[in-house]
Amino acid sequence: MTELCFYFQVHQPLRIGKFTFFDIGSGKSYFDTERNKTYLARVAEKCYLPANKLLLDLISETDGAFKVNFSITGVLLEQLEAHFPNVIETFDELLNTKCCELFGETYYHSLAFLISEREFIEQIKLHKKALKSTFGIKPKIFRNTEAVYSNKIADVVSKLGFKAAVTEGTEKILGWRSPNYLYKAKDAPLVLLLRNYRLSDDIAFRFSERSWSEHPLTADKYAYWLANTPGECINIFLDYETFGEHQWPETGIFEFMRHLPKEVMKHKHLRFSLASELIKKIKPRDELDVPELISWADIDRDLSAWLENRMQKHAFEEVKKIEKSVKKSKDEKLLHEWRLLQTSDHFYYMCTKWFADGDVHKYFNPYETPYDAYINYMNVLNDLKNRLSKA
Amino acid sequence: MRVLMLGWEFPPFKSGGLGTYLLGFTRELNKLGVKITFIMPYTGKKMNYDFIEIIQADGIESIAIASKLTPYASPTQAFYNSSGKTSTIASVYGWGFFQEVEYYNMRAVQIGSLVDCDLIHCHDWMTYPAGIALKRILKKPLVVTLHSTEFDRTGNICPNPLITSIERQGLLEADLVITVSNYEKKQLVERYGIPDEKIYVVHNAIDLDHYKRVPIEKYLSDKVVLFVGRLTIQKGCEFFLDAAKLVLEKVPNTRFVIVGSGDLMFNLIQKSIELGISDRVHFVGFDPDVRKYYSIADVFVMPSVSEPFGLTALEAMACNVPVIVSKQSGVSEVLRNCLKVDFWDVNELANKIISLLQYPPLHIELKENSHREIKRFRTWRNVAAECIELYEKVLS
Repeated sequence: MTELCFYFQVHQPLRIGKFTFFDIGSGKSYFDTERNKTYLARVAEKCYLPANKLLLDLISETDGAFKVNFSITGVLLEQLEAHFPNVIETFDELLNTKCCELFGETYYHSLAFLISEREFIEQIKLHKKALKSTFGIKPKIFRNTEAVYSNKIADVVSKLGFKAAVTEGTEKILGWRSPNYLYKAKDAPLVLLLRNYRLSDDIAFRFSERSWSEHPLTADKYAYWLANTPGECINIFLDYETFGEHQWPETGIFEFMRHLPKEVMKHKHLRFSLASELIKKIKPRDELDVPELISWADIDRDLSAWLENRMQKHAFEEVKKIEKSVKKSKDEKLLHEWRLLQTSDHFYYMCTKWFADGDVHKYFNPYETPYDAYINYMNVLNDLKNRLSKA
Repeated sequence: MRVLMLGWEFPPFKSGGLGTYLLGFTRELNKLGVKITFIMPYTGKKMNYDFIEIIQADGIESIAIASKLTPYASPTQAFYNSSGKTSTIASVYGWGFFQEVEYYNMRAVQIGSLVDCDLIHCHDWMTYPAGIALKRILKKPLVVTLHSTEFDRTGNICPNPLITSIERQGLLEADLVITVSNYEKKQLVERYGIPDEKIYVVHNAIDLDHYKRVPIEKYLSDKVVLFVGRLTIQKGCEFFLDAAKLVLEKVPNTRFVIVGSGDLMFNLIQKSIELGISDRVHFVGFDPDVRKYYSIADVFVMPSVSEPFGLTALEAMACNVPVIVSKQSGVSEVLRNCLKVDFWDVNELANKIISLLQYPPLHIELKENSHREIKRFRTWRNVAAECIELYEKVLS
């Protein structure tokens, strides 16, 4: 039996509005509510609502044989609650089928692990709290921002009660080994689910690529590939926005998904699984030693998309530096906004690597250049520091 | 291939980017096997280049009018020759300027009709009438390059209808039109009604051997923000001053250096006094070698109202200076590592200048990335090769 674990990451950042040097100290708000709402309306309409509907249909049509995993960031939940509570309802419906599982992560979709262990833990707990109050569930599986992972992270999250974590099935950590088995963390009681990046990216990136030799990708062909993939589990991890946003409806992405479960079920040895079921059904085959941080981003599979150039490193250092004083201020609004500034997307917009992934970097990017992203961010951060000095 | 080329300036006689362009472009054309005969107005100086045959058409008052011919014609416009002496068309010619253009064209036709060539290539409106006549006399195809339009030069404020009609005529009669950016191509289609398929874009290039930092002592520790360009409406220097005022409120130890001259100089000096920043703004006038200014600059700003290309942005980048350009420019469509603003958005321009001065990581990152970008930028060889392809297209 080969277990199929489909997991979708659901996130939209709270983007910063135009904030010039002259706005520092003016009391102008940081976040562009209107723009964020516009983007969200579009994603809700093009992706979340139709895709949730589709998945719900698939679950009922297959009598629960089709199963799916999600993680939804706190930053997004907050925005949905404020503007599109109907989207939350559809996620709730999915969860009620018991064929859907939610993972835990940092509330702010941040790189908080690099701020401090304390901050990392606080943000994970905030997210847990949000899942409890919104959906009444307690996550068992952990997914760090952009699947960032290391031995140290395994240690921290296992102590928080997580049974497993997801990360990238990169050769960097696997060597000759296959991502299609379960592994365990080094020196921590934590199971690892590794993303099969080839099969995941076939959908995420190559699906509509006309120059790709396998284009067009059909559900029966993909199911055949899955059936012929050796191993005990296949982890297909995608950004949820793949449906309807990264891949437009015209590419046939929804049709593909509509037919996939039934094509998969033609192969008797394939079975959809929730992550927490999967880790009970199969056992880790080996231990993975990951001393350096890895991620699922770009081709480098490291943190270079967020923290490579001087602007990114400087901005991150600056936001990190003020942790203690922000917390000492006991100002809840300030603390929340400081954390919103940690959302990894802000640093992603400052990325100056211009290669094949450039297109992904452009997705809903409010800035014309990475330099503009940095300028705006630093102006906001200076305003926050100014408030802090007066708090 | 033999090309009869008509133009109105050639280094060392130049008033702007066109001279720079023609030198780099014709040298590479020649290396690729094109023989060029170039007819220009009389300059009074011998010009000996081994890659181009230059014929200087004598003028009405040959020597007196040497190099006074300028496309930036307005009755009060100051202009400059290479000796740096200034004069005005009004004081020398009155309204005789157009007469002089007409005379140049007449002589160019007389001289050009004796030249053995495969095609005629004209640069900008002052040479278009001769180009049209020569096309008929020689029965050879006419290629025109449009480096800037009257709408650009006047910032679309009262463009001279005589000039726009000459421009339109030249563009219509040409068998093929070359221009320097998609931005400019759009102007030609929209303002002049020239068919899209006749216009080809060949972006400008940069000579990296010439444009690099020169050793120069900088005695003041103040940061320097630089403007280089003619002081005309087109170049947007007034927006530079407005931004300077805002910058100085936040970063007082900054100096603003303005290299260039033109008919707005008086107004701009006046404006800097009215803004109360005249002690921080330095007008240095026209200087044929701008490298020394690039070499001491911390930020270069090109706030043009309408800029067909904008070679100075490339020059500054080549000299390791972070660049801010207006979005109303051709160069902004080919550059990645620069900051871009709408020319009228003074607040945003000031915001970007301040950010470059206040956030060192931005300054270093932009400087390094833009320098890397310019090192890989197109050369005049690329420009020449693309033009030859177009020559072949028009000849076949």
